[in-house]
Amino acid sequence: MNRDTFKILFDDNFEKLRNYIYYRCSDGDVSTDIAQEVFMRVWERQIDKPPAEIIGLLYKIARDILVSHYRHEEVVAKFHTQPPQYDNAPLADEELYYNDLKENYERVLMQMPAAQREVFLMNRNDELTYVEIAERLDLSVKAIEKRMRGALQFLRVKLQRE
Amino acid sequence: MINREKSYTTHTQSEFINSLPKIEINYRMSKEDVWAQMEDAMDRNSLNKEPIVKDEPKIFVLNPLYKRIISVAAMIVIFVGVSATVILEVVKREKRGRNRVEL
Repeated sequence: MNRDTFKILFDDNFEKLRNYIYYRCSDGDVSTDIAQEVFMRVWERQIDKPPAEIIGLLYKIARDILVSHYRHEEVVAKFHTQPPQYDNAPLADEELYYNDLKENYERVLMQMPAAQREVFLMNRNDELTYVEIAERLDLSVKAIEKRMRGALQFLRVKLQRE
Repeated sequence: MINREKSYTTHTQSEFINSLPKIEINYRMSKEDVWAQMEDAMDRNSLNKEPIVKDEPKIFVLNPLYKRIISVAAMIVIFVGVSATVILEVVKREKRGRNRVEL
């Protein structure tokens, strides 16, 4: 792999890989460090594979590093949500509702199983399709659908109850 | 904005997903900063060089025809050598025997 090909791989995948790590640990600095280490490993080992396989490999290396990083610690994910973009000035009711939802939603995300959460956030935040997520996590599309269904069910039940 | 009148269970899947806020992620380092840092490391370790493709070691491979000729020639030499030794030995013994008879 030459430097230009490597730069293209980096540009196309760095942000999404970093976000994926963030969805698992919710620590921006750790996510950046691990994503950087993943790319350095790929460069140093001069891995020469088809792009689809390399992308899957990036996520696998990231998972392995993340597991060894948190081997002795329990990950407590803590997320913050972005305020919605209002077309006009928000109504007091809307703002109140948003604040209410934000708190509950952030709490429910923390409670959600990690496997479901990463798939849900890759779809919601990064707008990746099920096929793209399946390629990255080396899973079948069926498995992604199942995780997504589980995540949505979890959110619906918990948000209604909160 | 989500319709508050509807309960969460009556939304369609996409309506429901879109009603949820996105996660806010603020990284201290931008992608460009990370790339610059990586480039430094690559330069320091001279990793920026293209992978060196070593020439295949040159192995002397004999032409099969020459190989055959040489092996046949070697067999002939061995055959001639062995026969010559045997003949010489026989001649020597015969000479010795003749000498004895003459005596």
